[in-house]
Amino acid sequence: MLRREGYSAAIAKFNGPDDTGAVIARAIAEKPRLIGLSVIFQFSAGDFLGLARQLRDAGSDAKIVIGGHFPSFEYEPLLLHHPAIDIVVRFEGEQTILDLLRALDSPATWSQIPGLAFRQDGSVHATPPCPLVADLDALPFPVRDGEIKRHRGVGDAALLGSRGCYHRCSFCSIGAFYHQPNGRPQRMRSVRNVVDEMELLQREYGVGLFIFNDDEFFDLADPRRPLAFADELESRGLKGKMFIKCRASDVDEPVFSRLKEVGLIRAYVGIETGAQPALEVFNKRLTVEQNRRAVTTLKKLDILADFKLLLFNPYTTLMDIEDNLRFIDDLAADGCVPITVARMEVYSGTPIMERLRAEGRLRGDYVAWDYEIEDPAAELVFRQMLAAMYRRNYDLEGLSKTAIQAYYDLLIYKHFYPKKYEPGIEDALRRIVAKLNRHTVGVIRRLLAYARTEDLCDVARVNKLTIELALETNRVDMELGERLRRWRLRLNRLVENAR
Amino acid sequence: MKEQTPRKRRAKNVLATVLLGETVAAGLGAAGRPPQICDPVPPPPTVTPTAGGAPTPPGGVVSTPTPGNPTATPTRTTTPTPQRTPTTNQTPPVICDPVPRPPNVTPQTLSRSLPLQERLQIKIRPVEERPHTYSLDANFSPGDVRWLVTGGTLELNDRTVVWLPPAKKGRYLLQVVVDAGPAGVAVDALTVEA
Repeated sequence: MLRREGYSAAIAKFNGPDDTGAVIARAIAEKPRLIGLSVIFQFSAGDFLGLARQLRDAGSDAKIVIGGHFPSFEYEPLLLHHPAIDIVVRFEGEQTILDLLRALDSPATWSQIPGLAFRQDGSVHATPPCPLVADLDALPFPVRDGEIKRHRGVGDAALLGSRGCYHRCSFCSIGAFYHQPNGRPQRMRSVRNVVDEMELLQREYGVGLFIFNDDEFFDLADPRRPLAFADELESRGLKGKMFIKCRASDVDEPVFSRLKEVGLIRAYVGIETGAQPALEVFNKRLTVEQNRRAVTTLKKLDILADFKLLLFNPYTTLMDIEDNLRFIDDLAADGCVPITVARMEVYSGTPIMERLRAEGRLRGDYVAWDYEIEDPAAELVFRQMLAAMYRRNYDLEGLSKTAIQAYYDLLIYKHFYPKKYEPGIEDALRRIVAKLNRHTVGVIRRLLAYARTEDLCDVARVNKLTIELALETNRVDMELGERLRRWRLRLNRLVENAR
Repeated sequence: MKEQTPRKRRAKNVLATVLLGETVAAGLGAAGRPPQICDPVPPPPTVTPTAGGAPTPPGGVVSTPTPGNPTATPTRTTTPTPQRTPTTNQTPPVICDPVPRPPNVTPQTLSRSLPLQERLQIKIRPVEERPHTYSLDANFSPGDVRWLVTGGTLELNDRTVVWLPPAKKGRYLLQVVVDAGPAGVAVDALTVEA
């Protein structure tokens, strides 16, 4: 967008504090007039705020502009408490950032630009949101500076076929982000436009794996769209594989069967929970039966069904937790996917945040909202699970994460080197992941058993059980991690032979 | 529509810094990026974060800063990122949809009526390879620290521990346990190689 308008613009990678030095070096060397920080996720906010401060300390005099989901809602405290941030671009930013660049040296005119928040005379001023981009096809394709990532000989690229989502899940900031400005909350690029970009990516960059990061891949208003998309891919002879994201209610066997024919190999499904009361809390407007059917259908079609379970929310009961464990027993005990269990976290702008605030239960601050579960027994299970399985579930090198990466490797091998594919490698991975999933369930069942019958406030016994389970989890993870390491060595040999 | 090349470049520069190499999972309940070991940098301690994000009325909104109150600001301790041995020489792209991580909170924000009142975090950090020396990083002041290993012996020196490997080559599990009573417990583990 910026380049089309004649501005010189570049993208710098920032995945966390490790990238700070490189970004600062570049900012100092290239002396941009404006540095834009794209903060989608609330818990990356601290990293970006640290970067902004260090950019300033290093002497950058660029206007530092922050945008994305989180800043759109929390612009006021961000501007009040972080002097390194000059301006917040709220909601979709294409038009706003252009207008801002044209007026960058005239702060007196910023109040005329929709979608901005900024400090003036010691106060924060916010203009009304800019209307959402009505025609996504009018936007240029995203810039792909630098080399496309390649893994095991396969280039991959992330892309968006749409923006936004019609649904209003209570914990999700997407709904609030796209429902607040004027415009349709979910907009689709035309099928032709999307496939044009895929063709370009394949032709110019050798991309073989297309990772669709749409908030919701499917169009509520146009159920035929995925079939038209498949037809378009087929008519152009585009050979590639795809990942998509969707809701459980989207998983329709004939449609997914057709998408599989044109390259779909993995679907991340927003299952969230296997407990009906939790689905109600999340306002998912789905049933557990729909969730079950979605996973079963994808397994039947041999499309990797990836999902996570938000085992805990502010209203979780022990019964909800048990329902979730049964869900895992029924659908993932075979190791078809590594199950990660987590708690619903509170994001700014969401209905659940407002509900907790109204109930006087919202804790923490705008950088990291927090809460306690209403039922103390469920709260204790959460605390124990967090302490006992933090490394497995949350650590970058934890077993859940490495097992998911192993499945990614398996998909690459299976679908990009099919002639040399040895099915035994998949069975071996499933056995490892099955043991991982069953152990996770077993640990939580033991916590449930304690919470149902024992003294919740007995510090010594609670601590003893938590430590015991943590030590056991680490031992299991070491054993499974070692098996996973050997599995990966075997896969390496198979892929090398296949290439 | 194809990517367009600008006909002319004005002398205006923009550096856009974005999260790359990850799946944007927002909207499906897994919003977030992969959790990092280090805690987020805390906001400046002299201000009071206030709950913002109220819908903007037509015509915009003007707000005034609130005087500072450092007690409302999370007081987190930054945990250095430990150096660990990569598990594979081929790192695949981050395709997993990240798990939302609970925030680290100050003790007073959790209920005092239940155990595990704080979210304590510890991390074993390799310090030296010869001899095998490890230290403990923590987001709190750990009192009673217990180290365990599945092979060989351990020598404790203040806040570090030296592992004396067994004669048999192989991988062993080094674990550290902190029991801080009502505040909670923390356990970390590291695979070590003889």
